[in-house]
Amino acid sequence: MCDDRENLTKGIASAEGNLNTNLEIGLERCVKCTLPITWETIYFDDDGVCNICKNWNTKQNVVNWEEREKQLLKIFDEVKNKKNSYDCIVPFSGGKDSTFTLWAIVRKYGLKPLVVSFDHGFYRPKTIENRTRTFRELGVDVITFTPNWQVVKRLMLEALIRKGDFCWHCHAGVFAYPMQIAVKFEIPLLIWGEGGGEYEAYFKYEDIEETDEWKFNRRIIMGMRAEDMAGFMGVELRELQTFIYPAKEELERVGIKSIPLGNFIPWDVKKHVEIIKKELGWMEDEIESGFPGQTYEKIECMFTGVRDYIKYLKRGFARITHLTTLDIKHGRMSREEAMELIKKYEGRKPKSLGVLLEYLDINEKEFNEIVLRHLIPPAKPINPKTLLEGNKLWDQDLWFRENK
Amino acid sequence: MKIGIVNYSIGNVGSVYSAFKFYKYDTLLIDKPGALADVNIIVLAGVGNFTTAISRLKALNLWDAINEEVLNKKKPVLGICLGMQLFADISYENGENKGFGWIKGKVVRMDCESLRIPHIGWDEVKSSDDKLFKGMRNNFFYFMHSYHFVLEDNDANIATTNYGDLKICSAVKKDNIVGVQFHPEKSQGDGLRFLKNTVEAML
Amino acid sequence: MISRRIIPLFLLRGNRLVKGTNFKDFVDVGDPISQAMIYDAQGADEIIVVDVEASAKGKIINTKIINGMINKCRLPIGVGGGIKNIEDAKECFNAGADKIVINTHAVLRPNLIKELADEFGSQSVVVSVDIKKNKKGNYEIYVFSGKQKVDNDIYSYIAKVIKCGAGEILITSIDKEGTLLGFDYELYAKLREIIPVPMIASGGAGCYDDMVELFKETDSDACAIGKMLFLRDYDIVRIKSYLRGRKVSVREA
Repeated sequence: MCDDRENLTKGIASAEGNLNTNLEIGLERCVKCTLPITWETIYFDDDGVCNICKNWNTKQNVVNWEEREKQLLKIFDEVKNKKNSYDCIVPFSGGKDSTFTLWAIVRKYGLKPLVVSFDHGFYRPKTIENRTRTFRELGVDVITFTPNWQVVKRLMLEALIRKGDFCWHCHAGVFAYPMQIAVKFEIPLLIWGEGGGEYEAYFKYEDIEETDEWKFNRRIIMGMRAEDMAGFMGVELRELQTFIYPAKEELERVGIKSIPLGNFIPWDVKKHVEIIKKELGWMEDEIESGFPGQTYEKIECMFTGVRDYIKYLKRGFARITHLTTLDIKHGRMSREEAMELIKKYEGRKPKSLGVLLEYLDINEKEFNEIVLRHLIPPAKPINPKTLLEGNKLWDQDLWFRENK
Repeated sequence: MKIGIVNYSIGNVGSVYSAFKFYKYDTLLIDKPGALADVNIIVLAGVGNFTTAISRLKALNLWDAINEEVLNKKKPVLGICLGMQLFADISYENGENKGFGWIKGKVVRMDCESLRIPHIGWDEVKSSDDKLFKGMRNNFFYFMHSYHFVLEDNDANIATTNYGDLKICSAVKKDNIVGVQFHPEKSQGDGLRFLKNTVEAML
Repeated sequence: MISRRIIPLFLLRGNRLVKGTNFKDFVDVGDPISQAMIYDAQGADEIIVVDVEASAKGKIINTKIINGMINKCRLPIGVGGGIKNIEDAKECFNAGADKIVINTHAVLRPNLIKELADEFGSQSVVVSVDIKKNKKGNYEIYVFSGKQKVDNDIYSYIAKVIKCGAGEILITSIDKEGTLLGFDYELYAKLREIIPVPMIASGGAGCYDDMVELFKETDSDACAIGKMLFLRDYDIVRIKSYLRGRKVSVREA
């Protein structure tokens, strides 16, 4: 594979560039919410307003939530009447969305779920505590699956090289594994968190009938399935068993039905976080790539900071842009205030990068070469040497280290 | 309920077959006149040219049998691309050939100075028929043809596609007869939906 | 009005897909059937799969693989690799191909184009031409996946191809392909003037604006893309969103 790395390149990106180049030169942004042109699936109309803003308005005004909740309750009543060992599966990570979903399923809708959690290898200590507290407080059966670490490390590097995104095993595993359990245990109903795609234009509300495998192939797996990966890594397909989507015949035999809860109830994140804090003692944490202080966004994964860092190098924006966008959409912030915050906080190199490099067994120079190759024009190349380093997370020294 | 796909040419029969199987319809391939009586819907798909299609159908003794089923017994029939063109009185592809004549009109080469012929790719279909084209995500379907059906019987024209200055007839319907110039089996979700709508409308 | 097409170009070697640069240094980019499912789900407009070794080995593309792809993908699939006569083409159609793509054998025996167009219809015949610039800056035709130069003048060859009834013409710039440095816009703009049938540009797509420039400056009907999809972080949904924003008429992904 190392030889092929040469052949996987050619083209764009030298590492030269200025700090905040993209901000100063003016990466084209939405006039309303500031999302930049390199945001996945975005485009602007003649007035400079992005499609994400437009869809947002549609969703707020057009969906009949009463009708949707009625549909949901009907589905739940049907399954409860069957009195199977489990009414449904709830795929779970421990982040705010899956925690709220599990709470709603148990406390609000009164179902008996089997909780299925995919362990990507990067759960942080506070998240582990949140999980334990949630499981014990709600009283649920839980299966947590941890894939082969040696395989995971190779998958991470392969995905980073080919796509500039090392999280393939997580995306594929989180989506495919619960489906496998649903088939194995013959539990037809799966309840996922938010509808997804509020910030991207991958799916329309009309797609409510499209199959999960279509979504899996379209968006989740980054253009590579287990069958492809096995060839890349030179391993038998069975080594990647966890990441294989069950066959259509199997899903049909069991009658699998996947429900994103966010398609049936309006997704009010702030309200949800309040509920899980109060009912389950769910705790916030700090992250490397957000605003200073505690937050509820993406706190469950060690590498949120590195992910955002890579995004910044590739696309010229990261989490701060995303967060301020939401504030603008909700009328809590002006565009000018947002741009100030982006200038102040975006684009810090995370201290946790060192841990990832250790897992991948590459050095920072190699990392930079790989990532900078994945620049998405019209974003301009950024020189990582010009970026400030962020603060170390309180728990980084507790994380698993290869070299003791 | 059985759907019979007439297997008279090489090519896209497999895709048409698998498209109907997506909805679990009982589907079979027909290459003998006797088998026609057993099916409820006849499907004429085809790749190739008009001349070859006609001669093959006649060689298999299917020509008269299909005519009998559709015209006299009023059995529902769906024609796809070349299949739809077979409904015409006459076609000028590779000489002059008579079609089934179920729908008045002729099949001629799309000749237009400003246009690129063949008409290949995804194009928009504007239809007056809400039943057949209901629930579509896009209304774009895949076209792949150099000849088109110019109708005399305009009532049978239920959908058109604008290709430059040319207004192509993209779908026909008359009683038990439905035809489309595009390839629903190659048009992803909307194509599948079209097939489902058609089957349901025919029953 | 007809949409511009975005076509993933699959290069088959053995039973895996590969991608290289200037037709060299191939790396494995996946399983053909798996990739067909992916690009179907992503909303590509069609797929073209070509076996890069078939002509040299005197075989045709593996029809079992074609059949596997057709069963898992509801898009038109164009198939090529070593097709040299009607029988070869028939095998491909029987396996489920919607169009056949001929390259080397069309150059070696242009009458093949006419035979296939007469038998199967022009719309099912794609003639693919691989082109490289020589030191003088003139374009030259190569066959056998870029290994052998032929003496035909490209403009008269293309005129012949059209006369023989090709339904579509796919032009690959060997210099640009796999480089991610953009298309050879000049080439396509020139050829656009003499090609009255749909023209598919192939070779060099590296970012969204490459495609915008292609459609706006050269009026190509479609583009075939490779490395940008397989070895960079792009997908059809994102590409089409960007193109729509730049007013290129593409079908929604």
